Amino acid sequence: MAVYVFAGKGGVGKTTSSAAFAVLLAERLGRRVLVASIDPAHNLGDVLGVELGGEPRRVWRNLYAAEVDYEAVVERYMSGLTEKLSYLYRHLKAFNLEGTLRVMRYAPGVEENAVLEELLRMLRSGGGFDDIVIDPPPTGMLLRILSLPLSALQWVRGLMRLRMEILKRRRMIVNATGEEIRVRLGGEEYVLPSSPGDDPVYRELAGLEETYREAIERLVKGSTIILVINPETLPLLEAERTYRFLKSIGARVGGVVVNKYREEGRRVLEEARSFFKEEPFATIPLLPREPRGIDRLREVAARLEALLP
Amino acid sequence: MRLPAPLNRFLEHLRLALAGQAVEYIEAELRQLETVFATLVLGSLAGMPTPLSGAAARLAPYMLPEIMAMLEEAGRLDDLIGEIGGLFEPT
Repeated sequence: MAVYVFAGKGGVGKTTSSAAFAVLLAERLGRRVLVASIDPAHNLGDVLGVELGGEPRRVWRNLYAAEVDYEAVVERYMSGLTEKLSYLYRHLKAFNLEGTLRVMRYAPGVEENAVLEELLRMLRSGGGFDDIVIDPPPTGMLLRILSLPLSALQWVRGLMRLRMEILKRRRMIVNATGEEIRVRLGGEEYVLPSSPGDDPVYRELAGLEETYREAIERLVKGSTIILVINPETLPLLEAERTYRFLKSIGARVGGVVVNKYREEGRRVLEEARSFFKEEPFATIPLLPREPRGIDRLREVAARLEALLP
Repeated sequence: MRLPAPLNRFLEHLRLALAGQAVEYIEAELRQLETVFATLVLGSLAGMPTPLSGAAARLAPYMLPEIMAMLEEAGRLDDLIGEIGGLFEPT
């Protein structure tokens, strides 16, 4: 299964390009394709001219589409956590659990983590699709999602090493005293685990390590990223920076789309061609009418053939 | 060679005393490590930048003992000399 991610500044035409490319894959290569939006400000349904929800819906021939309910994903991620925390931390009345959870919902990294896990869930299940085309949030958020597993993996591995040191010392105490280490918290007795297999914290860390490793394999290195720009200087400069960053984290860039091209943008177009000379290049002209609906998207799709695998 | 019974008892007590003291040292080290671990994971709640609140959120439900250790440790910070003194028992 191939995964394509269309990256670019807000408003450059990521949704139109990704929808048109999905149409191209479905029509020209006869692939079973899912185009999924994970942008909090969805407009994939508007572009395709259909109402979309979180589950893939067939929109044309072998083309399916979905708009991932971003808020619901984050809420689901937090509600599982709230349940566990409410039970385990019931003794800590002064801890103000509800207040803490409200803060954690908006803590840096929580949204990215929730979206990353939702993306992985989608890629793991596959849904019988040959290709998945992702219409992501604008560049800043996308880069945070893509770079998250790389930094997170180092952090989690550091914590795993520290946790092993803790477990090693607990084992030493158990061996020397011949008794388990017990603590009383809130009237209940807890036996502290002394081996990685019994320790839920170590198991959770190992699960996180696996998640981040999988994210690097499937999403960072396993997907093809296509940059979308307009023929203007600022989007081009941002695309150049994004390109360098993606290369630095080992991501695969599979092409560049210059959308809404008009004659005044010729100089920027030439600069873009020169900078991205090693990548497949496609140009979509500024259209008199917005390309909404499958028929119009097929016209746009014809401009994207250079990006086909 | 068989040692006289009183000497044997003395050596056994000595072994137990040394083992007990070693366990105390390890326990003190363990408390410190658990505090460092909890601070790294949940540091954002105390104003320390934590790279991954999302991952911290996944670990938090299992870390009640560590949090309690951290709170106890914080209480003892006022009397670090007392803590070290208790550990090494200088007389």
